[in-house]
Amino acid sequence: MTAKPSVWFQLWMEVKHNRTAQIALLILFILVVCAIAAPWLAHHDPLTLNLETSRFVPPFFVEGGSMHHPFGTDASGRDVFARVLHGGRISLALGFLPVVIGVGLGVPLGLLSGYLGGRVDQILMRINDCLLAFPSILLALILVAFLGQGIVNLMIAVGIAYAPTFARVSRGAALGERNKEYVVGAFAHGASLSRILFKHVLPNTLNSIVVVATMSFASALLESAGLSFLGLGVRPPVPEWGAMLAEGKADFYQAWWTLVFPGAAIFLTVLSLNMLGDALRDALDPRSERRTA
Amino acid sequence: MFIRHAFTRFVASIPVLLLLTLVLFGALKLIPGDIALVMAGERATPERVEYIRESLHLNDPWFVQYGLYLKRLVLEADLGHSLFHDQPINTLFASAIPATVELAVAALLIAIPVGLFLGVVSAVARRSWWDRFASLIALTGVSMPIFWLALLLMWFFSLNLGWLPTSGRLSDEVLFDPASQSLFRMYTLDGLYLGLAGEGWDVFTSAVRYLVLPAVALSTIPMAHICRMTRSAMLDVLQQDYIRTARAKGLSVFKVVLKHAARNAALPVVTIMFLQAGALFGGAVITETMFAWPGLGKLLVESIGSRDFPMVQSGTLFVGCMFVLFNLMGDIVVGWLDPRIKQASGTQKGNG
Repeated sequence: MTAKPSVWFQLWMEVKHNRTAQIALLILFILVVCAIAAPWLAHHDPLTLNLETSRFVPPFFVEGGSMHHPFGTDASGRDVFARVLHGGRISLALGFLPVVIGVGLGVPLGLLSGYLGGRVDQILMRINDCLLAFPSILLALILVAFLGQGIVNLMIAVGIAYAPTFARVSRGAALGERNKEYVVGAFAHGASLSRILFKHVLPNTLNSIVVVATMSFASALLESAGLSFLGLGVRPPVPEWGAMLAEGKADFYQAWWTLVFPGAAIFLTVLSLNMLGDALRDALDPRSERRTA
Repeated sequence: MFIRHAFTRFVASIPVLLLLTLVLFGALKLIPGDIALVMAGERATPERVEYIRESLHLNDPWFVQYGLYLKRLVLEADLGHSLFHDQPINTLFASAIPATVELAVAALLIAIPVGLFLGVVSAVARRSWWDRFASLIALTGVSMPIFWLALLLMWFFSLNLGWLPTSGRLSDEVLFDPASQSLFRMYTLDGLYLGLAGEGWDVFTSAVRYLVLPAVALSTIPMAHICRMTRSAMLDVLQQDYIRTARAKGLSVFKVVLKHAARNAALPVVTIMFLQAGALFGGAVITETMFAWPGLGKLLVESIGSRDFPMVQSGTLFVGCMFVLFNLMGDIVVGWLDPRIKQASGTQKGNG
């Protein structure tokens, strides 16, 4: 094995010296903590209706609002603060899990294809190129349309739609590593194929995979929220940011807060993920490092 | 050599389209249960179910079905029959495509100049406040959920200021019957034609007022991508030696950018422009639904909701075709601009 520090340590060093990445990570950390701690942070249940007493209570900083409902309530008297926090659990998962699925499907295929080369590589990459030629939201839309709607199907659909991207990235990286001495050495040592791929080639391709995964997290979250907004993903009354926007659309003119808070949550999450992705890419890509230096 | 490049790119896009038809054909098989029964709905008569089974050739083996599907698409240019609207899909598309094209062109007319301008300015004045401002706009553009932006635009410009309408294509007060009077099926063009013919400009003004908000909302993402690509391509070029030479000769920044840098930075920017345009011409799913714009995107979403599978199939096929077509046009234009391309280089792709 090489004496290089691990990829995660390298990434951490980059983040330590990059202000943008730090801010982005801090925001993401707060968002994730809020989502996990939702039941303890919010005093209300996200699903409890309260049609008699508290419909359209404005947020605390507007006249008529109070800290009892910090972000106000929606048309059914549900607490928007509680819904945004609980919604974070589902929305963040809908950004993250598709990336996990995409990495799980795409990376092994890409590594194998790049390492083996030849006929296998050609066929796999031809198909992959065809899939890459379509916008990922289109693939997700087709799958959702035909598999049926629902959280799990949405995740699978968006995940499959991202697999070709990861296959492409990891294949390129594997291609660069396959003839390096340490790989040839491991092969001569009689290491099995999976050991070569996952123990030797994978760690050296992680850099680019991490960058692409960060960016994909952002766009998968946007796409899932968009599909839910169109009524093709998570269905009301489940609290999810996109679905909340769809529900609040009709009440926009009397209660802007039902839309501003979930929308701002999506925007903030995607923005910080993109900032983090940009910073990591600039830091890890030697070409653009020169550019920003 | 350029012709050969164009031809190779064209041939290379055929398997992509074939794969798309295969995926869409296969998708129909993913539906759980008996397709004919699902399509006909729960309360359909057995005759109707049998009719659907026959029209989809469900009693034949799958490759025969696929062959017949391809034959119908390619030779007869028939996209099928909508179950929900009970009309030929060709007819429905014929009325939806002009609306989509009008919106897409309007969005590109905003996105391309603004994106290019911001990208060039931030590359030339690198690390100035201009650069930070432009980069912030671009980052916001790629991160903004378009449905949220659309809602904010409606809230601000329609509800608060009362300047612009929120949905539809034309005001009821305008004396214009689209069914009989519209020549282009694009009301801004119709309005322009009427205005130039001396019939008054009220149709044109109304159509433009209805077009502004959806076009602005739709333009943000392509604008942001064009801006980011222009900035990085210009930065690459501006670091080259020949630019330094040109500057050393005493040429102004303006001249250097216009004469030397722009030409060489154009290739990646053109590619991304065509990619973005391809995505827009397939129908803006979210924007059209938000603004009740009767285009392909809205039709597609409605057909998924009503489980109108032939429509979903043909709708996504159209989106995919537009994407492939614009990708191909981008490749060809780049080949024409780039003297280095002697012959196609295999799997060269968009974002590079």
